[in-house]
Amino acid sequence: MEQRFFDDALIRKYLLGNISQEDQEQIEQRLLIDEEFSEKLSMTRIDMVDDYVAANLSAKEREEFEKHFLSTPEHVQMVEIARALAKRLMECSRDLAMTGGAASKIPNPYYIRHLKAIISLTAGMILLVTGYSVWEIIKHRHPNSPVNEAQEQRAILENELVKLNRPATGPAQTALAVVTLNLKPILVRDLGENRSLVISKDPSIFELQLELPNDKYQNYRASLQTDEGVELAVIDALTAKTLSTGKVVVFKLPSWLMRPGSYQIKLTGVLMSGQYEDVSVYPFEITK
Amino acid sequence: MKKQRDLTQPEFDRLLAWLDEDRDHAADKYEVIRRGLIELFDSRCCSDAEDLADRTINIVAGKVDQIAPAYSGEPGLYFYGVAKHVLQEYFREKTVPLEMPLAATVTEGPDDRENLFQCLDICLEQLSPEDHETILTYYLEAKRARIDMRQNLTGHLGLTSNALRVRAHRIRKSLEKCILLCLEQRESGRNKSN
Repeated sequence: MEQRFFDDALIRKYLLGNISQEDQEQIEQRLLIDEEFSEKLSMTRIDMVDDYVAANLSAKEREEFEKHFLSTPEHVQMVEIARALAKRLMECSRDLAMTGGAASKIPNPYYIRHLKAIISLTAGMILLVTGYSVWEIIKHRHPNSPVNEAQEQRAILENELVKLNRPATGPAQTALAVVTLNLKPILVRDLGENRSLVISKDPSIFELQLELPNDKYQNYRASLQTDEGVELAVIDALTAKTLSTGKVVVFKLPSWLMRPGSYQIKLTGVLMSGQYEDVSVYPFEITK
Repeated sequence: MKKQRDLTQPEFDRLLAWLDEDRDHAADKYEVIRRGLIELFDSRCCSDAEDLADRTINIVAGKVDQIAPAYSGEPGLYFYGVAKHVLQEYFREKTVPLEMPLAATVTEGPDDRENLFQCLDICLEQLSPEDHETILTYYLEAKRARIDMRQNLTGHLGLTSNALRVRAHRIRKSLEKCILLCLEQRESGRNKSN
């Protein structure tokens, strides 16, 4: 039998039931004679499940995934396990960013809860330091500094985000201009919708108003990411507000800490049980 | 569809003999075919893919005496033909609801979710330090950062990037099996106490 090459994209189409009869037969025959190909299919399936959990599938793929792939309890359970694993890994990722150390293992959840309390107290003390001045120091620091620049930048950004997004605003924030941008969830946004913010020479607060498809969550977590999904910062305990446009979550960004580029906010809802559910992704641009 | 019976030893021996003259090679081919059948039925969204795979194997094993003298070519392809019939029968017998709930969940409430997380934590604890490091680094972060980290990890473990993907995948599969077993044990424990 001729060894045809099946790439991950075609295998995904097969797993989503969106493939020609001929390709389906060729893939299935290959499964029964090629162990490596069986493994490749299994890996592609797991990657696809992880992409679904991370809301990285296109709208069409997501629809096909939910309609076709999630039609068996085994696959639904696979997604739930993936979701649980992603949550544990996200907790570990934030632990790494906050402590600046390499975790030797995925921490015990009870330790994580205790660690969060310590980090909250530490973040409160750091809030007294002016983030803008610290950022300037970081920018002009010797390039060969041994300090992990990415982790430090993340810590700086998250500290500023905590300051800006806490319920009571301090006097420093009201002195700054506020630039507002209303964003619809990725599945319902218009092609002509404005999604750009412009960095001016004076520092200002970018206020993103994230429209909610519904408001069934206790509170929300917002993950600021590059357009490729690399997480830059995470803020918890955001609550929904009612504006003239409907229910929104307001997420404030410090313009002086942002660079021009393509970004997205991934919004996750927190249920009463403490579990997380994906709400939507909100892409936007920052320009000069 | 009722649970499939195991092959008898003589049936299994005849099947292996048909797959290959060398018994070890035959056993390898058998495993490739069985795994391939499970992947096939799972990919076609059949519940209990393992049972359907065993059903297919049982049917072929029952016909080996007729097949062996005349059949030439890959035995796996013969299994494929039988698997297609098993699939047709499966979908004929299966009652398909008119509308499947989107993203339905089998964890019905907070207790089920709590069990899932507890089983996940137990199974993560059981991983070796090396497997822990592989999973942690492979799946942490996303895309660009993950690619950088994976390149570091492949260097550290002396693996090519595809070999790393395969290794991480195998750890993930064993993690899933552990979690499913843990959940099953908790469910049977709960049923006994009720």
